[in-house]
Amino acid sequence: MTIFLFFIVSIIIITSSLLVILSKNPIHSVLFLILVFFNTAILFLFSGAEFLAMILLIVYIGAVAVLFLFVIMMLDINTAKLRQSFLNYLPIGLFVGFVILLELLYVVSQSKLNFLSKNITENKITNEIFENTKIIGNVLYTDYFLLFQLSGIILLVAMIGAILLTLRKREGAKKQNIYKQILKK
Amino acid sequence: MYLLPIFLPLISFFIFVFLSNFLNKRILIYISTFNIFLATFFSFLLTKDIISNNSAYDFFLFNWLNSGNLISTWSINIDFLISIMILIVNIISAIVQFYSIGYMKDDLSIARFFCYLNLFSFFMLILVSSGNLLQLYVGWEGVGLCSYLLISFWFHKDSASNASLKAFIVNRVGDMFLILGIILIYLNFNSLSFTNIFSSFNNYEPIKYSFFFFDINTIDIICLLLLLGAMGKSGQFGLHTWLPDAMEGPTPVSALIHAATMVTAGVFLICKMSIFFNNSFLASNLTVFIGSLTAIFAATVALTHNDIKKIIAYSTCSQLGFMFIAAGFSMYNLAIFHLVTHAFFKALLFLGAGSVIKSLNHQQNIKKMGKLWKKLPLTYAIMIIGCLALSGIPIFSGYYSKELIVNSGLSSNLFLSKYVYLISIIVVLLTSIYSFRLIYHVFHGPLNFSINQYKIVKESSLFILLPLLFLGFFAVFSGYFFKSFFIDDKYIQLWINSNVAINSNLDLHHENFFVNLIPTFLGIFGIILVFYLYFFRKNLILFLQRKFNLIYKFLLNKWYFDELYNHLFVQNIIKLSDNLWKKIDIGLIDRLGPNAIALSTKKVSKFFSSLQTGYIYHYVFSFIIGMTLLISFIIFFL
Amino acid sequence: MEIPITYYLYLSVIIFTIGLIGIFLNRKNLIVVLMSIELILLSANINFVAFADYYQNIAGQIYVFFNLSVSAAEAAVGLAIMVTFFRKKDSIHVDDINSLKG
Repeated sequence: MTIFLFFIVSIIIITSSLLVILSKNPIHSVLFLILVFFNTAILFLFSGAEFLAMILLIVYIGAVAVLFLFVIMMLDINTAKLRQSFLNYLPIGLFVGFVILLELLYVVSQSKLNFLSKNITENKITNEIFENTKIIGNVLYTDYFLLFQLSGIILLVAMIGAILLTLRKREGAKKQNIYKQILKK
Repeated sequence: MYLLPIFLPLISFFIFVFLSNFLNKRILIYISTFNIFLATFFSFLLTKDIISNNSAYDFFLFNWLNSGNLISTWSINIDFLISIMILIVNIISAIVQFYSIGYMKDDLSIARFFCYLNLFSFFMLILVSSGNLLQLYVGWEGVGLCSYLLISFWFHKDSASNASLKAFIVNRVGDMFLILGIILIYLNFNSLSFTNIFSSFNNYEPIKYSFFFFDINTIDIICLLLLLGAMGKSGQFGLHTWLPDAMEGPTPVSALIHAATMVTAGVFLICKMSIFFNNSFLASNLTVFIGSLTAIFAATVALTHNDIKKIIAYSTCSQLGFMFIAAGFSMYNLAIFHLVTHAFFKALLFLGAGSVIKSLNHQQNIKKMGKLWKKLPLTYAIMIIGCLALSGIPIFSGYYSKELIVNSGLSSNLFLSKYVYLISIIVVLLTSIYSFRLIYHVFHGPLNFSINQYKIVKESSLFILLPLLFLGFFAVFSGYFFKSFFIDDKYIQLWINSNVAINSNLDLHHENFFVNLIPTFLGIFGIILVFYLYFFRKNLILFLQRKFNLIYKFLLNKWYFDELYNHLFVQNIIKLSDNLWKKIDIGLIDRLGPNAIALSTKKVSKFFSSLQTGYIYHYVFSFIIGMTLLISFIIFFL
Repeated sequence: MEIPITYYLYLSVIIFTIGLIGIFLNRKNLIVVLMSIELILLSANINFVAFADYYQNIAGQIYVFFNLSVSAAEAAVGLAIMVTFFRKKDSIHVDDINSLKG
């Protein structure tokens, strides 16, 4: 049963991602991307990573995809302008992609990983119920504390960068010029 | 002490090279002249020592090449023949340097002139006193170099530069044969030093070859090559074209190099390798043939020319032919005797001509001179003495040497001897004719230049006249006083010790007394003929000139040798070099080499810059392709 | 019946390739490039989660955490750059980004 569900989810993921890159309209692309994320969240649930699935929904869909949508709608994109150059690289690009796909699939197929054996019920160490959130919380702020702080800094830097890149001076906006105020004539 | 004659000129050369910026030029010139007179004094002492003690010296200086059998050392070898040559070279160099103090007084680069003169003396001395063939070749090349430097002394004149190049290149052709001869000697005798070669000569078995229908052996080939080398240096027929053009240099240079010393290097070589030439029938015959051909060729051409120095140059050429004739008959002592007397009277003639030229303000065309005997009496007297010596008139020095050469040829058993005798007496007649024609046009005859200039002509300074007097004295007396060293049996041991194998089977005089007088008679007849024709029958001369116009033109154009060589060699080489330059050097090598590298740099950089398209997807594409390749590599080959 | 891990891996590979193709086959839109990058990162996330489940090690999921934050930051900055670029050139066609040409 789960495998059947898994296949359905996988197929939706694959087709949606194909449609992300193939759509003419960028808004459609973003919507398909949201679909991909959503199904990935379901996939995470299959793996027992429910906290991550929710985080995926909140952060990826709720923030990143929405950001994409904002930007697309903000920029006045002329979607009707079609240009020819797509088809020049199509054969070679597809060929290279195909080759990569085959190789990676080959690699995976050579792996000696057998069936998933979730033996949680045996070898119980404690009687506590292990929820994903609890487990993550146990580890994140203790063992991976430094990485946690670092990711905070990364987010800070990204914020500063994004603001700085898109800052522009508008005439007519009233602002303070500290130097003018302090400097004596 | 006996090395001083050879190395004093070198010291003078270095003084000029290093000190000419610091000291006054006049002081340096006087030092140089003093040095060369000192060298002359020592060479005189050396010669006296060798004659009285019958000694020979061998000084080893230092090693040069030492490679298996190819051993060449810097060594000075002095015996009788060499000491005579050293003495002659030093005397003439001393006289010429003294003369140049006066002659080149007004020239700005007089220091350079003396520098080259000293270098030349040094190289000539190295040539004659060398102990092995390689050192001789060094001296040979060195005198060629100095001749080039001195002929092009006034290098701003195009004609001088061209003439010096011509001299050097024609010499080079001769040098090429000489070096082949030296190599052949080394291959056969396994040594380059003269003592080894001469001592092993008797044990040597030459290899015989059959060439078409006659047999030659290695000795013949060696002698032939050496003869060709000597022909180049001594200006014999075929390789003579540089000698008249070498008159572009200053007159002292002509006197030193092209009369007394460098051109006699060829004769010296043949006399030194006399053992070889004696054993080679082919080479001896060829030597007399070439010598006689040169003699008559030069004498005929000298009849028609109008430049003082060129006439005297052709006369040198002709007398060198005589020396080769003597050497070919294996009478090497006569060849050297004629070399000595010729050095004196030819240098005299050149320096006298220089005096005339300087008095007339560098005018060299005899048709533009005349009536100078009253204005330049001393020069006139000296030139007459020189010409009498040249023509072989009795009492004067030239008589002894020339008459011996002509007469001893009669009794030789070489197959060309009768023909050579005939040629040589014709040449004697022509010699006196052209030399007195020169005297007539310069000193007698109508006045061919402006009367104003004639009034201010006067004798040159003492520096110029003293050498003339000194040489005049030798031109008169050297023949009589020195002949005993060359022909008396008392001194024959000296010649044998010098490894000069003189043919003692030849009678020096014919048994019939009157046959011996033929050259003298012809010489005197020539003088009388010239004076008769020029003073009384001028019209006859003009008539002859017009009637035999073709022959006159042929002689005036030096038998069209220059044109022949130009057509055969020079034009072809110019075309070849042109092609090599344009098609190969520029077209091929430059195109594939530097130009190609520059262009390909541009192309490659253009190609690489075209890789930077600026499109992100291109870059990503290249990432991905690289990644694919890497993964494939890892999967399939690792 | 649990899902074999290899299926997760196949899926991740396919999504990765799709994202890769999307980067260089795309001409019309710069946004799609950014979205393809998100897809690639997503495939890595799936991979990590699958292995975290397989080896019962929480470290895989911790990585997903950080991956998420970094990818979000990067999407933000990328979009900011795109906005600036659009303001300059008035087009987001990929062929127009060639000022580094040469």
